[in-house]
This record gives sequence, C-alpha cells and structure tokens, in this order.
Amino acid sequence: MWFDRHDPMEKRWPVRGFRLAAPGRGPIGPLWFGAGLCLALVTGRTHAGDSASGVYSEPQALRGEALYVQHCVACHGTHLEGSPAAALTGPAFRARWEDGTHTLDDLYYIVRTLMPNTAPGSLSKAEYADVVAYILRVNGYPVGAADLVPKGAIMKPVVLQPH
Amino acid sequence: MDRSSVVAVLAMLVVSGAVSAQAGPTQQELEDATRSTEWLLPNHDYGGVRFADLKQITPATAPSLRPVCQFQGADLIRSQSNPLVYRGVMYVTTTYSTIALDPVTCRVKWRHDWKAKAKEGNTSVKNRGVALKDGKVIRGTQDGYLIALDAATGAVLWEVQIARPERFEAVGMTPLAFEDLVIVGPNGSEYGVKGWIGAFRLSDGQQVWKFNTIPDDGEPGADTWGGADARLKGGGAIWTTPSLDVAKGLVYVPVGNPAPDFFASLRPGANLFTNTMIVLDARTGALQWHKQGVPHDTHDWDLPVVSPLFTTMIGGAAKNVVTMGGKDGLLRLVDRDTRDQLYEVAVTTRTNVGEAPTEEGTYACPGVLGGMEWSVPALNPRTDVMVAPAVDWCGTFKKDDEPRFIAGQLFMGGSFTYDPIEKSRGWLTAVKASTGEVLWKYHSSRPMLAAVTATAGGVVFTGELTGDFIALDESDGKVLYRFNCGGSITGGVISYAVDGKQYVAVVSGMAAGFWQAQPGSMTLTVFALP
Repeated sequence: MWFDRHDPMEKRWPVRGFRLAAPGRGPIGPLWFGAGLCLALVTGRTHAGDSASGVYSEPQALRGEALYVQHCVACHGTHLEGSPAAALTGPAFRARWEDGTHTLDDLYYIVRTLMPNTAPGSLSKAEYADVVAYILRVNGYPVGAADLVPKGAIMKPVVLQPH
Repeated sequence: MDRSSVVAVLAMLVVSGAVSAQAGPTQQELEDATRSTEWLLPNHDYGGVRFADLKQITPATAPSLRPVCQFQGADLIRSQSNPLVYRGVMYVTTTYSTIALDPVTCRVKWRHDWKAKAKEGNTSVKNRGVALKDGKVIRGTQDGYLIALDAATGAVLWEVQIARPERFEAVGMTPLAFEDLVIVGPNGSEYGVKGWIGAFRLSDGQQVWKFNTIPDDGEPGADTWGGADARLKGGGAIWTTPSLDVAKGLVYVPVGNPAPDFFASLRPGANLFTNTMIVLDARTGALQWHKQGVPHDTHDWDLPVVSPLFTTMIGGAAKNVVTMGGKDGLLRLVDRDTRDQLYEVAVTTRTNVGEAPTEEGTYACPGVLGGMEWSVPALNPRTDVMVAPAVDWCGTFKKDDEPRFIAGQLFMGGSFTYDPIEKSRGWLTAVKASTGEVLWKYHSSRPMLAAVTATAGGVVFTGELTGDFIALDESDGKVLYRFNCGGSITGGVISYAVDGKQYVAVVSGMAAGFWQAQPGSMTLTVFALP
C-alpha cells in the first residue's frame, strides 16, 4: 500500500520545461503539454498564465553548480554525463525521469536521501534544492525569477516532462 | 557418400573426440570440470571450488610472472566479467559485448555487440560473464534478455526476453548451464523487484520452470512478510551464480536482500527467501530445503555466496558440505545432509550487527557493501585451505523520514554514510575448510572484490581495488608477485593451461562509483612464466 502513494494517475500538475502549467490531471497531462508548446511557439515565451516562467532561479543554479563540483562531479562527471554513476542529462536521464510519472519532488527525494553517495544527507535541504536547480538548468528547463523552495508540497505537483 | 562411408565418418568422429572445438562442452565435460585444466564454468566447476590443478606457477616461480598479452574491451562500466576457457578459446564479456579470443595472444576471434531492445529499467548496470554448453555461449543483458550465441562465430542463435525491465529487472549474473537447461534470474533488489530464479531451455530459451524467491500468495514463505503488499516489491533478486550438486541434481541458489533495505517495519517477519540459500531440484525447480543467513534484514546484507560445495573429512567421516556466506561478513559451512551449520567465521569487522537503522542513524559493521560480495571463496581440496575475500567498510545506517518507491530509482528506505575512505579496507581470510580455523589473513588497503583462484602449485591469485593483480603463497598469505593492471580488479581472475603451459587471466577496469576507486577501461591481462 505504501508504494501506491505514487500512482502515476494521481492528481498532478504537468509542467513543460521550466513552466508550471495550469492544474491538470494525469490522463490529460499531454494535452496541457501540447497546448503549452503551441503557445510557446506563438509567443516565443512561456505561457502568460503560469505562476512563473520557471521553477528555479539563475543564482540558485549557480550555487547548485558550485555544490555539484564539490560533491557530485567525481561520480556524475563534469557535464553530468555519468560514469561511473548514472547520467544526469541526455537520453538516459530523459528516459528515466521525463516519462510523465516522476515529479520534481521524486528527483529531490533521491538527491537528498541518497546523495552524495559517500555521505547522504550531509547537505542542507536548501543546498539539495540548489543542486536540483542546477540539474534542471543543464537539462534545459527554463529559468524563473524565484528559487526552488525545498518543500515537498511545492515540488510534488510538478511532473517532469519532455520539453 | 554411401551408407558405409557415412558410418565410417561418424565412427572417425567418435574416435577423434566426436565434436568440433566449438560444439561442446558436453554435460559430461561440465561434470568433469573439477579436473579440467581449462575453465568451463563461472566458478570453475559445478561445486564452485575455484581450484585449478596446475602447478607450474609455485611460490618459487611466481615472482617471475609477467604479462604476455592484453585485450581492451573499451567499456567504462563495471568490469566484473569472469572469463571462461574451453578448447583454446576464451569467452569474456563487457556490459554489452561478448568476445571470443585467443587465451595466449589475446587476439580477438569474434565479437558480438548487443543493442538494447527495451528501455533498461535499473541503473545497476553490469555483466558477470557467460555460460558455455553444446556450442552455445549464453548470457544475460541489462534490458532483460537471455541470449545464445554460436560459440564458433558469435552469431545469435536465439534471444528471449526473460525479465521485465519495466519492473527494473536486469540480468547481470553469469547463468549456469546444466543438461538442457540454463538457470538464471534477475538482479535488482534495490529497485524493488519481486525476485525469482528460472530455468530456460538451452535449445531455444523457452522457460521450463520458475521459482519465486519472493512468494506469491499461498506459496511457501508467503506468511513471513506481514502481508501481500510488502511482497510486491520485496527484492530477493539473484546476482551471483548458483552451485550444483550433480549427484543429486540439486541447485543451490543464493538469494539477495529484501527491499526496502533499511525500512524494515514495512515487511514484518523473516522475509523468506531473502538472504537465503535455497535448494531446488535443478530439473523441476521444486524446493527441497533452505537456510536463511539474515532473517528480516535491516542492513542490505545479501547472501551471494553458496560455494564451494564439496565433500571433506570431518571428525574421521566424509561430509557433504556447502559454504554459505554473505555481506554480513560470516563464512559458514553447512552439512548438506543434516542441514546443520558446522561453523561460522567472521571474515570482516562485525559491530552492532543487531541494531536496526533509525532516522538519527546507527553505526554498524559491515557497512552496506559487506562483507562478502559477488566473488566467492576458493578452495584447495588437497590442502584443505579455503580463501575468502571480504570488504571492511563500516558506517552509519539511516532510515528515511518516509519510504518512497520511485520507479527506476534505488528503493532503500534510507541511506548509508560511509566511514572515510581511509578507513575502508579488505581482507583475504584463509581458513582450514573442514574446521574454520583461521590460518592467515591478508590485509588490503581497499575492499577486496576480485575473484580468487587456488591452484595445485600452492599459489592463490586475486586482485585489488587499487588495480594490483597479486599472487600469494597459499601457506602463509605472503605476496609473491604484484602487477598494476591500470584499473580496479573487481571481477574474474582465472588460471588455465594451453598446450601444457599455465596462464592466469585477470579482468580489470571500472568499479561502481561508490567504491571510490581509480577508474579504468575494461582490460583483460594474461600472465605467464617466461
């Protein structure tokens, strides 16, 4: 029962790239994605109705980069390419995380509970959020105005999607 | 050709050994592998004794060893492959490739590259080697396939998807070939699989039997989980090779840990058949008996070791025994007839072993990496010396504030904080196999993960995470020869003869990131005396 909490059909907000889309339900997520894509193409920018243009800020991603270099680069590589650990960008990352069933909070949970592998939980929650912001930036998610707040309630509704 | 000529040719074939070099090994050859001076099965023979009856390399001559050839697999993923050698051909794997080469010159005869057909479900990517029988080379893939290649050409004979990558199953272990069966199961306990082991027909890969290591409703052991939900992602994966009692047709299977590893309150009970040696009828998969190493595990202490399986004199009587060991750091000897444990020996530091992880953290040894990992002990049956490798790296186990299953990610229910790398180390422990009396210990500066091979020459071969291939004197554990292979040695180290000359082959390369070792590309180095 405990693992049913993450039923992919449960209520979530799909997000395209850096943009928080309007609330939707799992089954119609792709429609929101498609609509967002069209609007982005028309306007050349993100959907005006969104709460933000992105879920993290540029300064936060820069802080995350510094933390990444210090704690993550040895296993995940200079360009997040992986080897010996898992890739954090590229096709492998997209296939694993951007399948419409994973939330931003899932990514944050793995990072904060298991990383760095030699000392899990040794960074602050804010620092883990910074690292996640950096991973998002490298993967081309749009930058927003405000920091990603390290709270599950905020990250859980954000579904990672192809963008 | 007339009928009499056909008969004559067939008769000649029978007289000359009947089968061409690549048509075997036959069942009889595999059963005789104990005496073979090649290397036909993952751990040398069905008992997994890892003893090569070769004695050119001795404590006196070992210092003259030198590398004679190298093969580079160009693979930067975990290099744990155990090579096989049969009729002058070596078969070795990388993560996605299978290579046949000359075991004296390292020149490649053929190479097969597997292109994944399904999305790989778990990131614990590795391959530990092939099985060889009746002209077929059989191996697993990360996307859940079992494939058979023509031993002569590398051509694909059949490929069958036996595991479900969408359920995070992958096939990394070395399969075991027996009669017309290939026995194999998927790894992935940390990804919340529901484990099983099965037998697949050698001729076409079709399933013959399957045994659930995590029981379904109504199956033996189902009542040891506190409910059906816990079993659905209960772990119990298979990641090392079984041993086999040929006389009785019984396969001894090592089963992995329960999941989530550290959040054990979700699975109240003994959690059968995790961390258990299960004994099955090799032809039907019917359970005969079992012995659990760590019931209701809270530390990820799998039971990967179920060999050597052998017969020895204890107290003046011949006893049929099997070695059982795991990441809990205990080397046990079990009587296969009475099923009693005869002894247990700690081969690494053991501290606070009974303390379950808390959210604040509990310190314990062994750490999450064991103990004994995928490389099994080697036994010299003539001297009664058994040599076991082990990891010694303690740390703090923590339980998460919430257990969460995230598809394709580790399902640990907690975390482990390693002691500083300087405090990590490894051991080889030599014991008197019949009694467990410790004879000597070799200390390594890093955890010991490489295969160990014993030989009639009284020399033991293995390797270190530092990249050093080492030859030790079996009588006292002193290092006789050392050579740095350039990448971590975490896999196969075997010894064999070609045209009467003894060789040692060593696979080096990459270790998983958490070992914090020198990275390297998969390389096979062959050593011999001048």
